[in-house]
Amino acid sequence: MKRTIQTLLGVVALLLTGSFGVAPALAQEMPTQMPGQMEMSAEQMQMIHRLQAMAPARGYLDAHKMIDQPLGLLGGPIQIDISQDAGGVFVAMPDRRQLDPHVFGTPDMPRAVAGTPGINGLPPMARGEEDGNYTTMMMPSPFGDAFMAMGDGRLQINATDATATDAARTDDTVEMMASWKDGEGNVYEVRCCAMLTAHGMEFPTFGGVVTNHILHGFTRIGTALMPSEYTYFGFWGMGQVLKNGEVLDAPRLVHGMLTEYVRTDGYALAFDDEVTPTRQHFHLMVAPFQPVMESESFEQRPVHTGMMLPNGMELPFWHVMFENLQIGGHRE
Amino acid sequence: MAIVNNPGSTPIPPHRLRNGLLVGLGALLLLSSFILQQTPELSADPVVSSELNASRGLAVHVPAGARLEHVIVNNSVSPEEIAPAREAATSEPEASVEPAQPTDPAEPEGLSEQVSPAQPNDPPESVMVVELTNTLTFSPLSITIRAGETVEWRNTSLMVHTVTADPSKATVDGSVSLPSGGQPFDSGNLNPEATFRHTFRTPGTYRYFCIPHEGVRMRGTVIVR
Repeated sequence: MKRTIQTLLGVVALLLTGSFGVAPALAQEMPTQMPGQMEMSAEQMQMIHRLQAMAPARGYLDAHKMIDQPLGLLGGPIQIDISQDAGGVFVAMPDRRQLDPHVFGTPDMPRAVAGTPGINGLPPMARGEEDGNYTTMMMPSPFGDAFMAMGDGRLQINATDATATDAARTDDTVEMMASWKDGEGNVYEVRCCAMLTAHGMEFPTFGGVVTNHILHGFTRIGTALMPSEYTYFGFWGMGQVLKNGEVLDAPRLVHGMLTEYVRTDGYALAFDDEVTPTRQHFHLMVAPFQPVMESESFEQRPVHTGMMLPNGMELPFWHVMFENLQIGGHRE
Repeated sequence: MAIVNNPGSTPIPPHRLRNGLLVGLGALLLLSSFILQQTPELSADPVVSSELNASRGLAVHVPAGARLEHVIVNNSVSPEEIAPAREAATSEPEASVEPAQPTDPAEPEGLSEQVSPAQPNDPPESVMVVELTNTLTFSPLSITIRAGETVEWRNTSLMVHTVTADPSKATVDGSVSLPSGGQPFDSGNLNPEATFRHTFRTPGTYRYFCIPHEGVRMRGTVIVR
């Protein structure tokens, strides 16, 4: 048992440190696969695979991923149009997520454990504890309370939700352009989606576009580190990251969602009982991993955002909120 | 996760993507630990909230409670600039304006106007100014004026805000309260640099809010003596 825990801790630490070029002591002890990337031991790989295999949606996904003629939405396809023409955006900074007991339980009754750490579940050894309760995630993530305001946020989305379930093919579509500007006039932009995720791996993606569904938090659809949130529109697809009109990184996995309002006092990320159901905002996420077709695998790779931090490092993900929205939707 | 052309072409077999995706997903929230470890120059003391010069297009907020040891900002702002902003943001003293200018009793009750950015920015001497900020606050949070005086709200942030004291537009308990006889008002959307003025004639306490940021309890109070 002790050995298992130590191995799991090593896995979590490896995930924390293995992909970003410079790593703390543990990572330095590991053999390197290539610059900036860590090689896991067989035992560590086995442990990760066990966590992944326990992801709660695994069986559901197995039943859907080979379906070549998926059913459509009840009532027919939905056309979605969302835009922001003025005002800024909030850009998430790395922070330690406060752990909601509604989602993560307590140390003597933990919830949301299985799945890739931080992506679907969160192993107990990655959780801080105090007085019999979980406190915060032990390492920073894109899901926390820290943020930065940036100006001139623009958003344009035209999408269709036609395919109901995960499947081998999809009739869903998304055209998205999002941009914002820093104080020096640099324009950051994300475009999506030339391709959509027809089905998920650890959690469903509903053909790439989902409407009128609850995601995240206790649902285990997406990361549990975001609150359980009613989602009026969401998508997953491959897009581009640009700065000043130049494509810096493509293709990148892009996720967007129009949800009820999940920030509370001081813009802190809400617990489930703090969500404001009567207000909405749009979240944009560009995740730091990359599919590699030649090797039939994903490769860990920070997003080349072009946004430099004071320490000389580049912000390695985008998690951006738009909150001055015009929203439209109708059945085709 | 299978990735297919949009719409409806042949998918990538899911097993091709599985291993890398899972590992990569871990990186999504873990890479940031490294970033923070590389920011020792910003790790000196507990951080509350800070707001930097909006005209530079940047503001940073780290919540109170000092859970986060570091502040990360765009490199257009130096760490030295953060400290004074932190101190300024730690408290919001109630403000008042004295003395008031006499009020014309013939003026209508609860006069409101949205002022375009092109108009002169200097308000009359009797006007109390409240700023709308990037940290989703009205500053000052509470002001005290005399009946007949005007309050001017200036959006000095990068965001779109509203100044709303209309119960029909509130969706959260406590967002709005009006004194007996007080009239509802609403600025509509205030883009960055926009200004809104309202003249208060009925004494009492007015609690107002910002519609897009009602969820974060962006609220203010005007006390009319």
